[in-house]
Amino acid sequence: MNNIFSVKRFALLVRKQWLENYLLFVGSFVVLVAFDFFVLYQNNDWNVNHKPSYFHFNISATYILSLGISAVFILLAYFRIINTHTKQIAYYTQPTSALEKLAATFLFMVPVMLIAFGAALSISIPIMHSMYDSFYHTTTTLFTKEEVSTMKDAILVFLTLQALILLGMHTFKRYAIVKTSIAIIILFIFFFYVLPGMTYNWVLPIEGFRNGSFDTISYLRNHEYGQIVYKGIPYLPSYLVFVCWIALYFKIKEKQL
Amino acid sequence: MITLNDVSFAYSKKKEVFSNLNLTLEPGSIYGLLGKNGAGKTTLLKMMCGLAAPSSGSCTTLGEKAARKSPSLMRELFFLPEEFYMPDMQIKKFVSLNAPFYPAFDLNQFHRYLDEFEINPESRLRSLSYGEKKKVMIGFGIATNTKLLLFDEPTNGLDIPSKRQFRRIMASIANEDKCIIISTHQVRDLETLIDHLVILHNNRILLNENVGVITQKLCFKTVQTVADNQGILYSESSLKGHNILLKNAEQEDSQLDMELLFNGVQHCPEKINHLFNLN
Repeated sequence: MNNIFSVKRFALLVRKQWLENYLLFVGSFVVLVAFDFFVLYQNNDWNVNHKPSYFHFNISATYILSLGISAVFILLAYFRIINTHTKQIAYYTQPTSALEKLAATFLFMVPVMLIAFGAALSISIPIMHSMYDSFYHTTTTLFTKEEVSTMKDAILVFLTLQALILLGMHTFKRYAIVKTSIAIIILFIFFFYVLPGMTYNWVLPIEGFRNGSFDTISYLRNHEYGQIVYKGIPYLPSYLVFVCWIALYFKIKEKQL
Repeated sequence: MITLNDVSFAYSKKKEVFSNLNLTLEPGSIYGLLGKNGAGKTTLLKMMCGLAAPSSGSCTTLGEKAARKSPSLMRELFFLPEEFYMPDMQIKKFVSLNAPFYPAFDLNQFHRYLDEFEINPESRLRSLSYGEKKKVMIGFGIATNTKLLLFDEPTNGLDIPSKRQFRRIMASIANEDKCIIISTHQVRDLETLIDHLVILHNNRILLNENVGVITQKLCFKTVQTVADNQGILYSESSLKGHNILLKNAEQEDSQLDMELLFNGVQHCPEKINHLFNLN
């Protein structure tokens, strides 16, 4: 018998999780679409006395907030599966492998969530955008380069936070959400304040040695290396996503209650 | 079927639950797992189904390392904890979502148990009382037809007729291939059902014996006065006089009094251990 991954068991698990949570998923999607409409309305100027010939339709705030709301809903659905000891017993004694459990989690957390998020934006933005254009009889732009870049970063940050939260839920036995939040804040401070500070001013001195024995070659080597490290720090979240998902697999596999 | 070999387990450094525990459970028996609160009954059941891993030693269930929780093992065991989770849905939907994970699940059998427990299969789980939910889970667990059934305090929350029905159903499903382990405090509820006793106390197993052997070596009696009886291992007062536990030197037939035995084993473990180790 295949104890690592069976498509049949995986399908049964996905079906079970979907049918146990579909009302929450559908309800969340409806709320999300309504929320998108609301934020699009709030973040654009709909004053009838103001008639711009050129206007950039602001969707950035909707995008970021919508992503946050989607994350909350989907994590809530997952939290419902494992938030109590009795639910965890039911979850871990289910005859499915750790890989199947992980794959089902990934399916709902990443593709399904992103599809729902994208669908909500695909419904709300074109409608509000065309309404705005017909309202002012003008043509507005939707995306700027900076906005697209921000959106990519937002997705990356979202996936990192999501993976960290999932890992925390499976790691801490009690008050998982609180402990996970504290751990994420500590990680955030470490990556964005402590580590850059250490690489710039202590481990890799950008300004060279100041004690009179200045070594140019060493300085340049350290300087360049320091630059690489420093530039790489903002990309750490993308590596963290993979690390967290791999760690999550082992957490599910070796979980004790 | 289940082998625990030199198993030690602790939740923390200060709280050791088991130390060098050895235990072998075979199919064809209904095991009663007894012990005081905190003796480790639930932990032992969890260990058998992989929810707790020994800190040293090994726990093998159905030939596999239990802590791996492999699908091939998990589909052959059903664990009903004392407190369990049931989603808010109709019974038939619950069954349709969970039964496919168990290849030997028998829907007709499940409906028969529901009928016996007087539960409408159309009911919503949320509308049921704790005892009724437990009956649904017991019925579901038995209908999975797994080789191993682990029940933690199954009769808690059941009314008197349901306890009788539970005993009848359990007796009817016991066979040579199946191993049933029931952890309980309600010894009176299951006295007539259990055919093998395991008593846990202070990190170790005080007694692990077949009921037939127990009644062969021990005699359970109620007497007016204890002074005239020789070889009394343990006695306690009751409304009818004194319940006594004594060595069965005369090879008398007596009905096992599980509560008396449990108290006796707790009270004088050495004497009883000595008796059973003499063979």
